[in-house]
Amino acid sequence: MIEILYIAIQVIFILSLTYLILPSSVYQKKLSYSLANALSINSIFLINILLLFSFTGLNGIYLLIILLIASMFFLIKKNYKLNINYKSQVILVALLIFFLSIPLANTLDLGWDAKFFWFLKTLNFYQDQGIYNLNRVPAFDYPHLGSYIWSFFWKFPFNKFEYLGRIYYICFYVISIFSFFEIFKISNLQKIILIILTILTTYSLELFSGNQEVLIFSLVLLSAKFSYSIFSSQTKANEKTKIIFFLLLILNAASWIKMEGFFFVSFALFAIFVLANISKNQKIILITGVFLVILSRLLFFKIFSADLESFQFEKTLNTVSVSGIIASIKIIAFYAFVYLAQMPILLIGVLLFVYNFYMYKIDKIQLFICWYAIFNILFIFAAFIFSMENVEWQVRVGLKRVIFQTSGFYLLTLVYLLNKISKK
Amino acid sequence: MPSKSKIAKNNLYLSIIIVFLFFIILIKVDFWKQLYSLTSNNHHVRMLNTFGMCGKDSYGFLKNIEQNYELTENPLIINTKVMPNSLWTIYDSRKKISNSPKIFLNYQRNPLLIFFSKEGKFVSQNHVQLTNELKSVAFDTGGKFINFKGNIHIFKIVNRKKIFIFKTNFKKKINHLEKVNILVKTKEFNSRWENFYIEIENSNLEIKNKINKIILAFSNEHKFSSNDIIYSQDNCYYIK
Repeated sequence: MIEILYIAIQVIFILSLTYLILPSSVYQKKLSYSLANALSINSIFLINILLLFSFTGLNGIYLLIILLIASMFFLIKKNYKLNINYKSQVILVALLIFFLSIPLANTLDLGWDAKFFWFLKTLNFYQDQGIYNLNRVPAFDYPHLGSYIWSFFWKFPFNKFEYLGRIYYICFYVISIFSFFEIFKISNLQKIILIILTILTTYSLELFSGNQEVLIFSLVLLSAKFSYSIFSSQTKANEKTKIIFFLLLILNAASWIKMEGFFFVSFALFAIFVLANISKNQKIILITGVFLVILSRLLFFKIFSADLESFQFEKTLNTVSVSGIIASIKIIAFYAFVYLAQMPILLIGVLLFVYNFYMYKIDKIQLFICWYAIFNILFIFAAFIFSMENVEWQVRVGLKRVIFQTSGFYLLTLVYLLNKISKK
Repeated sequence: MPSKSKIAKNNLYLSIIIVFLFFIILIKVDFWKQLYSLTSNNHHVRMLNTFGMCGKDSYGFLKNIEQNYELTENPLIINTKVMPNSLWTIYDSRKKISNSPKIFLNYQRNPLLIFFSKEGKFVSQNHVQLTNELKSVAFDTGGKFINFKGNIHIFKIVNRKKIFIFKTNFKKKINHLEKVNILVKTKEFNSRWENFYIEIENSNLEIKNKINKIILAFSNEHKFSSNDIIYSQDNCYYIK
């Protein structure tokens, strides 16, 4: 019974900390008209703060104290008041997180990658070891942020069970879905129905087994939402700068959680750079930001003398042949269709994409979705064709997880359709 | 513009759908069963249920070692059934990992790869790991005696291509389950997911039909004697 209490308090702790670390008035009123929006933006900030702190090697308690002081300061100064709409939404968010946390706490299972290195990285931080010490763990070249977040929320507030840290993954997953549906021009009740349907079609216990794909899924979903806002004609020019800033923070977080996270978010940024109606200054900010994120990753490899040991490019390129590539393409295409059929949101996304293309005049949003899809497909094929192991095996165990990470993006086709209908 | 009563009615329907969907979520995550299990089993019991005592990740066995023996370094763990190994259960990031294996989980003293007949060839039905020598082959002939004459090809299929691992020819009278020594140093059979295939060529159909299964026996890459064992339970061993 005590564990249920721990879980409930953990959910409240994560939501409160996320909500209170930064008052929404700091970034912009219009962007934060809902609780989900405020929570999602604050989550992006919190994740980036955790990333910065992970490099210091200091005990997480100092960060917690700083965050709590900041929260108290804003709480007193800004005199937070939750309106009725917020209250009902926060109850719904908290309830859903709680419902999804119970199976996690009971089953306790960890994924293959989690057992192999993610959890070892988490233990490293949990046992107060710095980032340097990670070279004792397999896959040192893999990013560490997801593990750091896991260890932080494992340690605080209770320091009891490791799964309490993984509850943050559930929180971020639920928050990102709630936040995404804010761009739908439909009633709140209709949004809630779509949110629950999205959770029903995407949730599986495996997502929270310590593997990092669900964090990338959530970040891609948020990047899709903010990218859509940039393409939307209703967004003002000065708002776009702030949105670009959020997108860069998402890119930074994603690239420190999983390698492919960088690509999945940067495809959207690249499309914004080419297709969106943004100013020259905004383009400079975008390019500089992306460059800084890449530089930070390169600096990490340089400072920590980390090789891309998990990729073994030489071994891969030496074994590539034309017939091998064709065979690999066939295998990847076959499994891609199989997994497409197993992911309802992706399937709906593809069907709606075709429908929208047929029904409405091609505009920048449709081009944006098309652009993203092309880059996404090319990336998946390239990643698996140049896989160092048996391609079929890699595809069987890995492709579904890779596809899942960007599946949320294609919900934009539904946004596009429903917003078109509501305009009429 | 829709009337207020129409909006209220519409909202009522939507609210009913939301409640209904909430129940579907509870069913999908098996909420009540999971909640009952969570309240009736403590964390350690649930860990044992998920990761096993000696078996699966052997969480219980490793925790016993951690509690009863002073570990100066992280022991190198060899788990012959479950990959990745179970180091995560007792990993201490302040310590190095030992160079030589100290813990063996799901250890098989005599690893065997068993092949059953399927569509003209024999297909492996299990897996072996951490072996370094193919010791022998035996044929289950259902108690019958066969006069074997033919080539044996052992291969696996990678990206739909045959990769031959071992070829030999036989001309021998073989008893049921008689071990025929091969003694070939190889690690090619170590896999936790690949199927291996045996084809018998130049042999008459009668002989092929008499063979029910083929058994390959291997040597372990890591061996230890009973004197080396500090603590053991079933197939799990902690050694000096």
